Amino acid sequence: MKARSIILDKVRNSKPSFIPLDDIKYSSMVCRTDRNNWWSQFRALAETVGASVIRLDSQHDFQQFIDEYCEGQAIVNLYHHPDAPTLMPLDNTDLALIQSAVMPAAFAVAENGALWLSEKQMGIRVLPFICEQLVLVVNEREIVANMHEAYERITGDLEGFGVFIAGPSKTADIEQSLVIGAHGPKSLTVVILGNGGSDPA
Amino acid sequence: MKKKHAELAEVFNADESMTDWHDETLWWIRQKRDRSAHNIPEWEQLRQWASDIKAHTLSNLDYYLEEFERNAIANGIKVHWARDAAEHNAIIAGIIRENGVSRVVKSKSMLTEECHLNDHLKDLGIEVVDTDLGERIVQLRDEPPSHIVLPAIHLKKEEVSKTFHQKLGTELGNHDPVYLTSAARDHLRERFIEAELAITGVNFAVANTGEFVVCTNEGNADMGAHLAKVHIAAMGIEKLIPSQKHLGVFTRLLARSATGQPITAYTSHFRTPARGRAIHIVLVDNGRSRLLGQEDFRNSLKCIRCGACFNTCPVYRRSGGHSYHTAIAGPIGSILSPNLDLKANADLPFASTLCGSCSNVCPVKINIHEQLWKWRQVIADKKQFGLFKRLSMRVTATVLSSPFVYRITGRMARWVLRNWPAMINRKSINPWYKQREMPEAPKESFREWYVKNGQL
Repeated sequence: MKARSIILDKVRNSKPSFIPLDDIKYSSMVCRTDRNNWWSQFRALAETVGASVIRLDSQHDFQQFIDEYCEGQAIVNLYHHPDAPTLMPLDNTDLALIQSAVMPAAFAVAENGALWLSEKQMGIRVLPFICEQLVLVVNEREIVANMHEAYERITGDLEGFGVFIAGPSKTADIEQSLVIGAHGPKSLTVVILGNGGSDPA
Repeated sequence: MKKKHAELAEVFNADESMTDWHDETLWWIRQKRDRSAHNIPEWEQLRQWASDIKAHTLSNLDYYLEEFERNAIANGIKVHWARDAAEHNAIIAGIIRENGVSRVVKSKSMLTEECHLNDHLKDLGIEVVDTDLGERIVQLRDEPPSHIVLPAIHLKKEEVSKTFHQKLGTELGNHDPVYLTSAARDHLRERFIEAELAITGVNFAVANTGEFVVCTNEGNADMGAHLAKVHIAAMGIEKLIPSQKHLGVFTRLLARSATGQPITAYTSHFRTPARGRAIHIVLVDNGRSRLLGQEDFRNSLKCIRCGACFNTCPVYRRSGGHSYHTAIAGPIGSILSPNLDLKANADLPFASTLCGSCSNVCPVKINIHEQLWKWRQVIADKKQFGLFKRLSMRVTATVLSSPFVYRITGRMARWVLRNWPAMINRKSINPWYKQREMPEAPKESFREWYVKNGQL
């Protein structure tokens, strides 16, 4: 505890006089773009950061996509079976064998192609990082313009862990050559469910 | 005595094509940053907000530290305080020992570099594997990182290939970045799976929620932190921001400034440990409170470690990160390092042209070039530079303070350049000549031209 009080005392004695902070007015920039363009903006940016984006309009199409996509693979589908506790007994070695994981995202962000997932949606925290291929499903109603709106949505979210995911895992540490699939998923597929508002699951 | 920036830069400059490549690559990243910033119409507003939020936080830092601590503890996070690098290292080593752990994975943290944590743990017989690919490459080569965002930017793929062949058994002569990255992926995945403890840095800590945010593109911080039973996050006390909504400003600025990406691939928010797991956070001062007390240098605590000032700096791009001989190189490192050790780092504020490009790209509007200039004055007052510089400064002062002497000297210099260039074009007499040709001397000075033509 000695270090704590010494540091706090030093900070107290060194800090400049109080500088007030006005409430930041994000409203001037939210809605700068037409709401109808948000999804096209999202799609463009998500593709820029290496994701593939598909839009599916019915439950049937979605089921068919999942069946084809995941054929013969070790797959965890948290979208249809939000049953993470059954994954809990798996040890790290088992988890590393998961080929594909499908999970819902809470919402998407137009300005950067990112999707927000909290612990509730990913089941166990490491899942969206350790699987080889990640599929994130988001309803077309769930989109915000930018990160300011995103944090307005998250405020009050008391989950223990949450993450914005934009594209698959990537690196450019060797001579600035972009390589997809550094440690985590080698691909990210974003499924936009555009079904006129009803949830296909 | 430690080698100085100019001597180390000379080593880097010995390979001209490598220097050119380094220069061009970083300039390309700077251009990506520009394109990305120009896509955001409110960019300048964001920079101002970021700067204002940080200024406010620093002016109330003790309050926010206590608020953060209170909320983090309520979230089940264990909070530690470290006055300096030695305490930081001892705390982390202590947690590792308490948990009876021998294998540790670490994602990028410039703070642990600043504190030389790896060396400390190595001395204690604890194996630390850096998991950011760039950091792993330099770790395998037994080198420090040369850039805070791009740790291996000073290496070509051929060198990485050679290192991987020696250390990881990859094919000799296979320089394909995809192949090399894939080999590193397999190698590091093994380490993640068996690691019992993970260390990460902290990009932002939020006082009102007690959570912290870690940004990576590779997902290595998450692979480590979620697979290991114990997660230690090392954080400088300046990383705090008041509330979660302020993250909106910083997460928009960080990746765009760093690499031109709209956001990092993973922006992870840690609030509580997962069931059966533990999170420790170490709050580190290490000279930061001293910096807070200095009006001229306080603003450097706003830094969010994006590296934009490196990529734009004409000196960094042509001298390489290792020439700065400190954990944080580049313009920002040159204003942070003298605070840590003035004597050892007195050369660094001079490793700049004071062109101001660093300040112009800084997402939190730190007046970097002004602080470089101010450090020079502190260093001059404390006589922390060499005899040659002292004498040449005195001569310069004499020349510049007398218009007559200035005119005469100018005329002499032009005459010498024209008629006896060998006098100046000699490295031993004129260090300025080392990496460049001297210009052709004009026939007349601007003043002479102006006297003739100024009345037109």
